[in-house]
Amino acid sequence: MALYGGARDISMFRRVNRELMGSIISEEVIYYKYNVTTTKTNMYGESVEGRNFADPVMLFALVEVGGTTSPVSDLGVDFSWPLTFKFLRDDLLSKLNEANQGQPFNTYQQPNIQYGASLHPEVGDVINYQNGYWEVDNTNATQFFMGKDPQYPYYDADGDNPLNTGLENFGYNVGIECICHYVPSDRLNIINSRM
Amino acid sequence: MAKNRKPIPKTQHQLGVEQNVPTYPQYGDPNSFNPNPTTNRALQTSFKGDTVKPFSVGIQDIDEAIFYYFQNVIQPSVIQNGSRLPVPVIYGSPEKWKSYQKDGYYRDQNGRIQAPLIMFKRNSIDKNRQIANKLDANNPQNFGVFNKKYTQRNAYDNFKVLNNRIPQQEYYAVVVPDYLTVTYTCIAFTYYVEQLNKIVEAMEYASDAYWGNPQRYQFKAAINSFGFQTELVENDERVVRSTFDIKINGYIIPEILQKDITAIKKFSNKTKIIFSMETVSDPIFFESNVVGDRIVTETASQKETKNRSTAIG
Repeated sequence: MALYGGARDISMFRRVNRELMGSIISEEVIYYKYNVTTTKTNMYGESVEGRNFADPVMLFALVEVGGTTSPVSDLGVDFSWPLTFKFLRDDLLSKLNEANQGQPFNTYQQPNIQYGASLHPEVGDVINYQNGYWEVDNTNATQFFMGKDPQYPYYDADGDNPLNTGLENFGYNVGIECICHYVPSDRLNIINSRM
Repeated sequence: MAKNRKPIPKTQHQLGVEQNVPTYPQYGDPNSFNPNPTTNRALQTSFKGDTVKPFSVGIQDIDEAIFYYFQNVIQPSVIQNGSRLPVPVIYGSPEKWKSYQKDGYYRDQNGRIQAPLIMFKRNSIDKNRQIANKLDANNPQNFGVFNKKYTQRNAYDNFKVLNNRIPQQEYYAVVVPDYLTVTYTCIAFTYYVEQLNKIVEAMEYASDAYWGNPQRYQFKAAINSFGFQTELVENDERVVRSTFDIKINGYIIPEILQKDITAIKKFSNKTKIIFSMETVSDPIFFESNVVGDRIVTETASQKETKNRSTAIG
């Protein structure tokens, strides 16, 4: 049985992280998740007729800002700005998840809104940050506190782990990183439909 | 004592003249040329006050012909985000400041290049000697000659028609152009293959036509093949491009000092004054009086009047 990294520790880390990201750093991004069922594609695998996104979700994130570059080619001077967005994984779970029960969104500003975006970041999603758009190239969900992911308690066929019981209550999958590249805004055709 | 002079070696020109011996001297020497070439001043006509300028076509005129044809004839466009967008055409590798600061119409707010975009740039120039040749840049031999329609100096008016005067003709001589095959590399850049298809179709249709402004110069263009590049790039946007070469059959008549010095540019035809033969047999014509500085002849009617007055008197 594990000794450290139990539910109480995790709860404290969760609260500290949310306060840090929400009230102190307060870097907000808007996450656009593809609606793959309504976006039509042609035989080349392109959404020429337009892309459909689910309702955008505003999230607090740690933004690792890369340096902008101006690569040159025959077409002229271009622009590139790689960014990495880091989200608290619990923010992306459902509101009904135990981690988000009784966790008001940004306690000091919006006490009536609850955490829980029900969002699964995937390659190809779009993130809006500082009036620019970034497409997700890769996602990393490998930041484990105490080196354990509570989703994998190593049960046997009977649903027990005779060597280490109760592993599902230890460890913490802290965050998800989205490594992104800059996208020209006209490609996405995301426009304000309401203010 | 004879002066011991050092012999002066002959020039290549002198040696060449000595070698030119006609086989049949009675028929003349077809290879003869002036051993002491002098400048023909009749061909050194000034362009001062002339509204016609010496003719010249440069490489930039060929480039402009392509630009004109893209923008005014082909007018490539794509459907993007539900509306038809004209595809901007640029010349490749412009200066950085121009590309980034001035060409904002194909960039987003952060300066990222947006599709669609067509870029072309000159790749190579090959000389084509199959059509015509001026023979020698030091002494051009082949010219195209154009007649000037109207010369103010020697106008053709009714007075001259009455007097049977044929006006002088002015001609402009333009050295035969240097024919070239100019190759351009062209890149069509879009977001989607569907858009690229439309651009390539338009380009293919325009191939083998004469490109350029009809009011200026037109050159025959040929596009033989199209290359496609559709690939995913790590940590960057998907690339959808087509690269093709445009071959232009062009010509240039450069405006350079060497041509200005050696080539004929303007000349006039040979004017003639014709004195026709007139014979007079009537002796009356010669019975004349000198009045001041004029010779006044006595006409027949005057003579008859004089005879009648004498008879009455």
